[in-house]
Amino acid sequence: MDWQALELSLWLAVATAAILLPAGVVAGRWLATSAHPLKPLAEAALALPLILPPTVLGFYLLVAMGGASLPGSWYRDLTGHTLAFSFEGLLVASVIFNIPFALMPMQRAFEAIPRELFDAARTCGLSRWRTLWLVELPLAWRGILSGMIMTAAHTLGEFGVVLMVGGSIPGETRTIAISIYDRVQAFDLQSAGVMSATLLGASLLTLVATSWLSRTRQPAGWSR
Amino acid sequence: MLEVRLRQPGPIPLDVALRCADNELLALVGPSGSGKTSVLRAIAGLLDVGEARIAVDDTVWMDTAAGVRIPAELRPVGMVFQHYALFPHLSALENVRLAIPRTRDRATATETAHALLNDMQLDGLADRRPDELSGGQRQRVALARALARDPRVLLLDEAFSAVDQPTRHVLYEELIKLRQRLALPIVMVTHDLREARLLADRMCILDGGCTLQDGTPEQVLSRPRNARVAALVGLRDIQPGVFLKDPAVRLRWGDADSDVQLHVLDKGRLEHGTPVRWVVSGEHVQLHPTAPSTLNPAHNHLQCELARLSRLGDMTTVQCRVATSPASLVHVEMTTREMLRMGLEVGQPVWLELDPQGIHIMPVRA
Repeated sequence: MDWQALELSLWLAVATAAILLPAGVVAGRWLATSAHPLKPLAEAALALPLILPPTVLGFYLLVAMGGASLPGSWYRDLTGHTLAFSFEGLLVASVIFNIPFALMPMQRAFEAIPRELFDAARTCGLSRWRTLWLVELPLAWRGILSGMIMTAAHTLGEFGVVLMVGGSIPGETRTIAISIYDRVQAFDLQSAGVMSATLLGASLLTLVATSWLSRTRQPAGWSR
Repeated sequence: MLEVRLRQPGPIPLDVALRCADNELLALVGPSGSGKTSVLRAIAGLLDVGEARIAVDDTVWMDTAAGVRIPAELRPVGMVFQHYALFPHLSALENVRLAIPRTRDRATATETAHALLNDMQLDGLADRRPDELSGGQRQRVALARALARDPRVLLLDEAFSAVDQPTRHVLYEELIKLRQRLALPIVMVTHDLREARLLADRMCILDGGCTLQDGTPEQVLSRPRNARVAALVGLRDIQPGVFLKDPAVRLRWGDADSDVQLHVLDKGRLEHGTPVRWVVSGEHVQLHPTAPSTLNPAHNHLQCELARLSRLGDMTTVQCRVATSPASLVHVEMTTREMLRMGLEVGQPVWLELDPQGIHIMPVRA
């Protein structure tokens, strides 16, 4: 068992979920309530990581993070090293490829709130901010939590993008999924088996948790 | 006093002017899509209207000409929604407390919320969530929540439509009692004319976003401004006719071939030969099972054939066909007990007596 890779994967999962939580709530709520003409385009762009081959996404991210690109050179000038093949780079990639996994359950949860409740909140004198805190978030929390769980689980298991952007630097970019690949290459099937079983268990738990959350998505007695 | 003036060509066409005094209940009545709910939403601030002026006493909530627009959350409006729109994750108490202005501390707000729930006979149900309450109880929580803001206007959007008939009658009684304590303008949207007649002081008939008529239920139902209003308020016998002045004031029932002429009152508004629609209010129609021994010369007496009896529980509708004009039908509502007492049977001759006072004539709109 590569404990260092497991720890790094968990940190990556937590950091990714922490970044996508506020971003997902804001974007999910906007997509759920907006009638902007560009909304379908925004939805398509944000869902792209779902169908794009991980190597393609990884390639573009690698190019964008390299020293030859504007953001890459800017980051290198700032920190002294490139974003590619670093934990920070891995985090940026992880956030991008997890956007649909975090966003979609949150958007669906906000969409499920009846419009009449927003009207009721306004006629009760609630500001938009209080409506978000007192009405929307308590009603959408299952979707938000579901998005976070999906994000964390997907981060633990992502392979293609991580390999392209981060390679396999121990303690820096080698996640548990990369470590399984390395162990198999080295014919250490026992370690690969233990780590695979760990990811299998995590995936199963994720599906059980999201299934439970979706079954209890709305409180009974929803007012419509 | 609530004063509302709304006008816009689209997307929801509106041309509405209405007033509702303190302690008055105004019913907005009209078919689906007539703009009733849009008017209510505009008053609450939930719908922006192109040209609007909404004022309560001296306070202007909306005046597009002057650039005034108070947002919905700052308007002291209590609104009860058709499906209540209670917050499902909050208890009855929390639903009501949420609407209490934040200027009050939490303990006072809780006390006020309890008092409002008790007023609505919801003692002991404060901790229940909406899914643990019956339809009538939810409606009462919604009403308590609407009153929690100390509203200057109360808006009811088909507030009684989602409960069963017995519960609805209990809620009517409670609204009537509530009105004795609250001196508020109340605007109620309803499809149910009986509900409007029972509860409202005034009715406003809307169609296609326009006000067609505004008046007491008795005025609107007995003297509809035109045939469209008559149809919208559910009057059954909207008869065709021609207004005649020469040689005497008469109403010819039906087309030019008809020889049925009725005594009517002349208000001096119609020319000789004007095509009209007319209705007669039920209280001015008398059905006689046999020929009356004495005839009132000022009334209209028509020999008819009893064409059909429709018995609906305690009430019976008697359809009468005018003997000299088989196309002319009149429906008379009476209690089933009265119908049995008269021994009415289909096919028998009957006599109708129509009081000209109850005949309301409406010009046909071009």
